[in-house]
Amino acid sequence: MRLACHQFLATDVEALRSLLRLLESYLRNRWEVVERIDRDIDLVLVNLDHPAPAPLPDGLNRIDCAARPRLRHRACIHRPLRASEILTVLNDAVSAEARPVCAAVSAPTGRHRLAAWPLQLDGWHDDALRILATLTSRAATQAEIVAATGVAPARVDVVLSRLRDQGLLELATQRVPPAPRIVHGNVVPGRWRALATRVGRLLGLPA
Amino acid sequence: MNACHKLVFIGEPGAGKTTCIAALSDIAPVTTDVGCTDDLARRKASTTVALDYGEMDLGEQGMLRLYGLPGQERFRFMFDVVRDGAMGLVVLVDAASAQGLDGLAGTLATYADELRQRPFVLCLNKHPDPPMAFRERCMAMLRDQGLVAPLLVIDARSRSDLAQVFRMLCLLLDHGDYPVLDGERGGA
Repeated sequence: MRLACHQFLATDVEALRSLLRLLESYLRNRWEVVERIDRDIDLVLVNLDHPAPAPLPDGLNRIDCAARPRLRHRACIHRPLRASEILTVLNDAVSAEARPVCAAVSAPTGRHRLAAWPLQLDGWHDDALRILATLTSRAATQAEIVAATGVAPARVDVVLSRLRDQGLLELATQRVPPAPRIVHGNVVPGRWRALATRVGRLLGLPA
Repeated sequence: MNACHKLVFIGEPGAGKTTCIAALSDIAPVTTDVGCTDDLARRKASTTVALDYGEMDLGEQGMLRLYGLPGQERFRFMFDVVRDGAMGLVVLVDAASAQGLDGLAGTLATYADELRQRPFVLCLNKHPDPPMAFRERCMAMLRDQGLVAPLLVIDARSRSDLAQVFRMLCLLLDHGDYPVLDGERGGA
């Protein structure tokens, strides 16, 4: 498996390599830290503290890292990297990616119903949280989830598969009409995110 | 005219409603705390009997009005007063108390119908790392009521924790469909 570090110091990357050697017997797969970030990368660790954030290609499986992760989001892990968190995210990435996606999950017409949110949100990336938020109020097909979240279909399948494995996802057995998207006259899509950003800033969260 | 948003905190006595509002409000919170005279007096000196109120000035994005409502059924009528325009709810649980689960059961029984129509976040307060069994019980109680919501562990005194709660609520609003009456969102 190929792992990359985005905007980390060279010393941090070396520390990660050492950590991987120490964790080798506990990891489900062999991981290699590579320099080049391309479409085939299995996981990218992203340094959110970098003063000049550079964008990453869309669709990559990423884990955010920060010196103060609790001020970022629930899926963010500590930087400098901690062995326990690295172990969790790498083994989690394997279990989510390597597992064959079952037919029910990948069926684009099957409507998925969320039974419950995960008990802990550590390790669930922003993409996954958007999918969970979408499924909180309605059952939805894969296509509807893609449309509502902007997350790539393959990534949606991975998240759905992971939820299903944890017993958190049900396939709606009855024919459920798609919940109509409620449109309010003056509601701008994404405006709640803007409000959350404003409140977060007032409460001391970094932008 | 600037928008006015309403955020409602509900929960058992001692779950942290007053603390949340005190942590967020720009003004001195308006409280209706009175001294406890029943069994609750063993756990806390005073409790909210009507509602707590606070405000957060969001500048150009308006005003966030904060309401704290008791979870007990006898105070249910208070929700009717603040319902219009409520963007969502925060359900608080005292995760450090043996009575926390009973309190959650009471709150869910009282407010389940409202919680089905609006986004809400279940927040476990007063314990930095509640046992997994406690979290599972909370989630099972939601499922028993046909409710789905994210569970966050918070310290109600922490503004950054409350920012994460607000962020989660906004995520639900941005991506969910809620049968909220038109005009309620961001309304009066």
